[in-house]
Amino acid sequence: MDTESLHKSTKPVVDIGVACNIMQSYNWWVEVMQMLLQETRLGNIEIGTIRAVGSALPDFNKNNVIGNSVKRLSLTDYNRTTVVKGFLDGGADYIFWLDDDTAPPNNAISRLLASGRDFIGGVYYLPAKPFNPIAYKRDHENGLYQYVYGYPEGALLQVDAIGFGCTLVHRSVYEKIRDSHTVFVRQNGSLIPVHNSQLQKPIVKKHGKPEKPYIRAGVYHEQVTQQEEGDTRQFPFYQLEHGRTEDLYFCELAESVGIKPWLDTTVACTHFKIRGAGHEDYKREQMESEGLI
Amino acid sequence: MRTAIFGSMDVPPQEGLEVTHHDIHNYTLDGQYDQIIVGNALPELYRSQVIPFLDEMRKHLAFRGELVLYVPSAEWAAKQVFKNETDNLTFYMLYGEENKPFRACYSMLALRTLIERAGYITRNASDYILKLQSNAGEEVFMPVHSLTAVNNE
Repeated sequence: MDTESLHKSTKPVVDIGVACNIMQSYNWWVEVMQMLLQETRLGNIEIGTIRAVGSALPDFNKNNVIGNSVKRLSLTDYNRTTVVKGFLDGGADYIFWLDDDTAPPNNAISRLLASGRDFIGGVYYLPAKPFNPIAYKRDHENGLYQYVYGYPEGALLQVDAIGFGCTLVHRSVYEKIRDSHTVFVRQNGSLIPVHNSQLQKPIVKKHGKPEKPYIRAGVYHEQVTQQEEGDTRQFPFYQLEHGRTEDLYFCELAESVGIKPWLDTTVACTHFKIRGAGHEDYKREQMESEGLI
Repeated sequence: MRTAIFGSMDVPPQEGLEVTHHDIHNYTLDGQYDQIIVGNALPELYRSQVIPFLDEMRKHLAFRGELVLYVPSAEWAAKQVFKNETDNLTFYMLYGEENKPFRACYSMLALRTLIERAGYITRNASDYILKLQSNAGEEVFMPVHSLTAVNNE
């Protein structure tokens, strides 16, 4: 999918979305501030609003949403969805997602934008062996994700899923997902968006006789009801479920409307944990595995 | 739709598609093209000729027209040399043929840097296996870098 705004003469507006933990490495702050300063001075974008949501981890109800003025016990999926609400209510063209432990290089946003892709990320690596990139191809035999490994340096690849530590998304991606799905409420109260093409009538608002979920002939059945107008929960763009991270969930929603993420390996971030891990670690690991060092 | 091809490649015929073949050392392009494919021909140019060639192609690409490049993977060939596992394919990838010698070989990063220095926007840069036929009629599968860039001006 291409971006028409690529051809506009004015600079596109990019909001910054950050899912925060309680503490960040001071190295992260320095690098991120440098990157944002560089983009402001020399980049081809205009930075809109910085939407930071904390905490991304359970922290005993001390979560605080900055910019959207909401407090609530939240996990990463809820925090990201809250950031998206602010983004979609605003006027920015793109949102650039950062994690508070990934530091993108100086020209990351402008460079990702220049590709003309609507859903594209830079590369960052697992901060421990085998230092694999947080980007995945799906194994079509078992549906599980395998990390992308052994790509040529400089590659710009389409993948099946990416992390959201350095990822640029055009607003049209969110809008297309939202407009192509209907949201239902599961029996446990959680939300599930279903692609409109998969809906069969009748769509019910209430079940007369509640039944527990069951499996028949290898198919899982569960009573769901369409989300009511009075239910103020946001469209669930991100969900932590089935032991998987919320970014995989979003990538699958995007894929259901024909949009797959791209990975630009020339935008390489440092992933801070106890120590910074990055491209050099990945390269060393790869060369070791190939017997080159 | 107009496509110009450099190198010994071809595309399947389709209605409305006009294809012309050109020699990278001696060519005349006529007007604008929607797609220019350079298949294994860029390494035939001396390094000093590469940027002028890319500039020339940009002049002949329609707005949002695509330049598609295939070059042998220098990384793959270099690893074969490093591991002492060279064969005819490795030597072809590095040096070309007697009548079409290669003057340069390209890693993906080097290719992408050149393309972006020449003012293109990279849309796709990935590895690809190109099926070739040797002089003896044998099928050969060569790892190449495939790069698609657009002219956005």
